[in-house]
Amino acid sequence: MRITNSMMARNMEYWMAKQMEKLNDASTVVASGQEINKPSDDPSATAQILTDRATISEYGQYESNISYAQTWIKTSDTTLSAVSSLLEDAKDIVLSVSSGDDAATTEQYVTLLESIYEQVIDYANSIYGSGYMYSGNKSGDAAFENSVTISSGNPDSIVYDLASAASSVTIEITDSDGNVVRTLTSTTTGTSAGSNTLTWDGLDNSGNALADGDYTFTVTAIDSSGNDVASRPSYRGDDGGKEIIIGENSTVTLNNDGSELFGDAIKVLSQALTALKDTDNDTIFASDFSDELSDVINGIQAQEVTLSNITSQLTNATDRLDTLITSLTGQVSDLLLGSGKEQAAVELTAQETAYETTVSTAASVLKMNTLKDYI
Amino acid sequence: MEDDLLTKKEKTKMSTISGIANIALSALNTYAAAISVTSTNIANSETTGYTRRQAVIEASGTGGVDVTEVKRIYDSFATNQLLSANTDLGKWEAEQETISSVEGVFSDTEDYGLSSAMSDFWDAWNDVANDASDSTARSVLASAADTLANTFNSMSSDLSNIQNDIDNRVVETLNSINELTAQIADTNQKISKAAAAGTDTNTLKDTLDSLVLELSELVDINTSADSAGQVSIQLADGKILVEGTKTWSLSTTTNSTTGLQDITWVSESGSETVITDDITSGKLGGYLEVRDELIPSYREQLDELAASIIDHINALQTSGYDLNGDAGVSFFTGGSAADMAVNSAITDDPSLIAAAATANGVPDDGSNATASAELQNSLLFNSSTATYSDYYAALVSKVGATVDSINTYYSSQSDTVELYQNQRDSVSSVSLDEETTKLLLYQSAYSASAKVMSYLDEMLQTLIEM
Repeated sequence: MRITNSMMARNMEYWMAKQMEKLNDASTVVASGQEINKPSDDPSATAQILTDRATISEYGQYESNISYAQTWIKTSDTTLSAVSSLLEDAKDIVLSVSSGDDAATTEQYVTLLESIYEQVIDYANSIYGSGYMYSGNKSGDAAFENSVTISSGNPDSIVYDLASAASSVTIEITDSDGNVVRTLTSTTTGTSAGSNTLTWDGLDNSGNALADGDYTFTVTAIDSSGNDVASRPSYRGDDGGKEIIIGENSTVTLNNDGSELFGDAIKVLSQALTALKDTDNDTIFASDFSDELSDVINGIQAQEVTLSNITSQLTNATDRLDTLITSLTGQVSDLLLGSGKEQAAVELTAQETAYETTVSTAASVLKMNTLKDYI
Repeated sequence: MEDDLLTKKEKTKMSTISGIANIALSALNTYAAAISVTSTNIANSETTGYTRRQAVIEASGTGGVDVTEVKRIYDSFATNQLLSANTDLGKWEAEQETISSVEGVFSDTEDYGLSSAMSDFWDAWNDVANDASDSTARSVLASAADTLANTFNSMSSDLSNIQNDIDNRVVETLNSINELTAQIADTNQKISKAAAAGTDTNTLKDTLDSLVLELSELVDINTSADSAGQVSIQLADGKILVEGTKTWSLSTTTNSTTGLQDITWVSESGSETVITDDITSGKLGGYLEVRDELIPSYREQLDELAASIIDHINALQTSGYDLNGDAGVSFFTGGSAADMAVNSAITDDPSLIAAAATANGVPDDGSNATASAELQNSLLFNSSTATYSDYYAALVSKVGATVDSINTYYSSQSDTVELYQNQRDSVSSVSLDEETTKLLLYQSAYSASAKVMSYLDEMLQTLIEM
């Protein structure tokens, strides 16, 4: 092939430019610390990195969901064991009453039992975050509370539970300042065993409409023999169930159904309390309630076991997610780094050498003597 | 017999002193002319597009010597190869310079880009599902959704901006083409005049070659030259751009669907024919491919992704219930990446997010939010084999692969052009060593002829002094 001076100069220029480009690529890898700086650097690795990062983010969110669930469970577990120990206390009281060993009077037992009953209701009405913990999905309403609301002039129905059928029921409605504003008495509706609903007109005792707001009420029920009938607040929540995503299409459900968790405890305590106030025969009282309390305690302990099972499931899931995240993070950084920092530095040195060779060749070729220099 | 007679005649002529003087004179003239050609070559050794000249020296009938022709040393095959390689290089160059901005649109980093916006969006649904009555979680979701919609919007508008930028380049390229064809027609005219006048056309032919080479980079052309050296140029589809001294121009018209510029060929009567689809190579072809094929296909996938998120989330939302127990409203408005937006009612009041599946479940039922969060693992694409993030990763990978292959094509096409350029230059460019050699030869021939003159002078002197 015939070679001319301009061809050589142009070829040198061309190869210097090409070599410069390679040098630039190699130095970008070293400077950025990663081999992939844009999708075209390695299209398939880029796709892998994107899906890996999305998965890492997703798993990170599952871990955050799990930690939310674990905090909830820890709180719930504390509540359940507190209620369980209160119920043990109640059982002791019941047994003491029947044995008659204790010096305490019935009145003192009543006070003790009342305090237990109220504490259990308080626990059932625990607040978690912005709402009630054990009202199912109805976290805006306390789980067990004798309360009623008038909104826009419309009163809610009055809802309560009776342990057995009554012949007469008296409801005293109290405003937020503690004043009794209305007394309702019924001998027909609202007297059956179980949940009762009584409608009222929202008027006070003088027939005036009451202001919008929350009101509490007490229930007093008497059966045909003139004995007190135990009453208690109705469960105002629903069966709820807090579903938490802990993995791809995998969830756990946290039990926040107050009725299932505390309904029996409240029922037995209210009956025991009524019986204790009323009883003529302490032995009958004891045999009735100590067994029932034992059942309720077993029920609550079973719930605690369920929680602890979920906790270990969550711990396993976290361990699994941790492992996956670690391996995915490793994969992403391997993909980004490519053959590694050392390799990149070696490559850069090689490209530097190649570039220097090209330019020094160009320099010596271009300043070479031609025929004219010898004549 | 006749040959013998002629030879005798010549022999007689040669033998006269004036005959010899004429011969020596022709040699002096010839080598002066040859040295002038060599000097032009040396002067132009670095001139782009210059084709080396060669003085054709032939013996003349009188026994003297003559420069019968100054030849342009030229290989039309190598030149044609170079033209077509240059057209392809123009295409890849145009694609490379525009696709890199497209790649920028899809260059997600760990915390920036559509991929992380989607992740944040799904994460926010999880938090709402955990605690549906929590107003903070709802606000975070509304803002994550807003970021997601904005990311789609800006990617879509970035793609539009790139298309508009390419549109401007298309118009500029057309202007360059029209300018070049006008110059070619002008040069054609000069060549025809020079040929008629019998003056040198070599420089004009070099000019023409350079103009045609420049044009070949812009658009795919076919060329043909007539005997005088005038060049005719047609587009690949046969539409004439230059014929002799006449030109046909290219123009544009706005496409009513895309709002982008279509390319038209203007006939002699002034009527315009749309030829956009016929242009597949050269810079113009490269611009059109990125503008009309690549970017629309990426946008289509982006739109599909956005529309699917909008549809699925809205379907769940409108079947669920908000924090007030009312039926859910659409979460997103719009139906594509360009116009996707969070319903302003939800931005204003995140309690309108329908996290609950039933009205009775309000406020704490988050099962509708759970279903929304789980959409991220639903196989909604590519015949139920790909999730949202898979689909987007595949799109980014596709963009990357396209850019990668364009870079490769560009690089290998540069090598090809370099090869043909070398082939052409190997024939046509000036070698200083060659020219120096010729200079030496011509110079000594010139000196020798001058010596002949001086001997003749001595001979005449001898004759006169006799």
